[in-house]
Amino acid sequence: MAAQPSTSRSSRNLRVLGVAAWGLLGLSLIFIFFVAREADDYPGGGPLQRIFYFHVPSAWVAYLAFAVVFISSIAYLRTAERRWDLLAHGSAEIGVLFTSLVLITGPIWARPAWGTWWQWDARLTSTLILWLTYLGYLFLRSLTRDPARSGRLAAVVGIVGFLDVPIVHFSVRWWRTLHPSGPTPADPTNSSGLGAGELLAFFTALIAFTLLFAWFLAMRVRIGRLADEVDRLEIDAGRASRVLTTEATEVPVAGT
Amino acid sequence: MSGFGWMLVAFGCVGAGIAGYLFSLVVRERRLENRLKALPLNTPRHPADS
Repeated sequence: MAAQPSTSRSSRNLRVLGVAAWGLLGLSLIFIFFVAREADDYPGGGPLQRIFYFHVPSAWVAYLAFAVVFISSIAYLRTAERRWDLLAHGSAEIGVLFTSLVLITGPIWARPAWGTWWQWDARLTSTLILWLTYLGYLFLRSLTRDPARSGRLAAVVGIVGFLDVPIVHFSVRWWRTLHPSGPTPADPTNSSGLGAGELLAFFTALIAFTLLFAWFLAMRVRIGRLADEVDRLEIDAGRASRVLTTEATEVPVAGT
Repeated sequence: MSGFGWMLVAFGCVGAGIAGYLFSLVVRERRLENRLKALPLNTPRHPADS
């Protein structure tokens, strides 16, 4: 009973986070379509260029999610506390979702812009490897029912897999790739970079996606805790019913 | 397809991905709540746990 106020407070916080994330996402759509119009007249600009406003924030959330997996996995291996494992598992799931969105929206932009869906260049290939690594992480977790064992194994994969994140990020500098480098502020000397409206749309989308990640993660961790609790109660109920059945068969009949 | 068409496809994919994941979370939570409701109330604890 004592946990009631804290539970309702966390539910309220979760609701506020959700409303903020969806509200900012709606605002970012308005900015993307009605404010960020500087590049509309440039070749490659216009509607196609607007894919960038969801593609890059998706990539940022994927980096963030895998960083959370990395830190939580280290904490889990050090402390063996279940909460770190739940955090790492939830974050990996969300990281895979957003990496999938990166790998879907990128080729949709590339087909009309480059004339091909896919190029085996450093940025695209290292992103695909990142996605496959954490897909393997989730598959590994489903192989065993023992949470401690799967948690330890997954933590090792979660830590090693994160080594690919800096490779993905710096690949455009380390190797010659077709992929554009990250967004930069407008440079009037060569008409490159983002204008004020575009920067506004971009950062609004970036914050919206970050809040969406936090919201998803909080919900996913809550579900993980609930699953643990239900499993524990079901085991308790099973044991208790066995005890009651045994006691019932052992009760001597009155008068005998 | 025009640039606008490609943009719509991309935005549709992002929306479907986000909405699909949210739906999966809601379904998982609902299933767990149903399992919780199906448990007998005031389940006596096993003596070994007390």
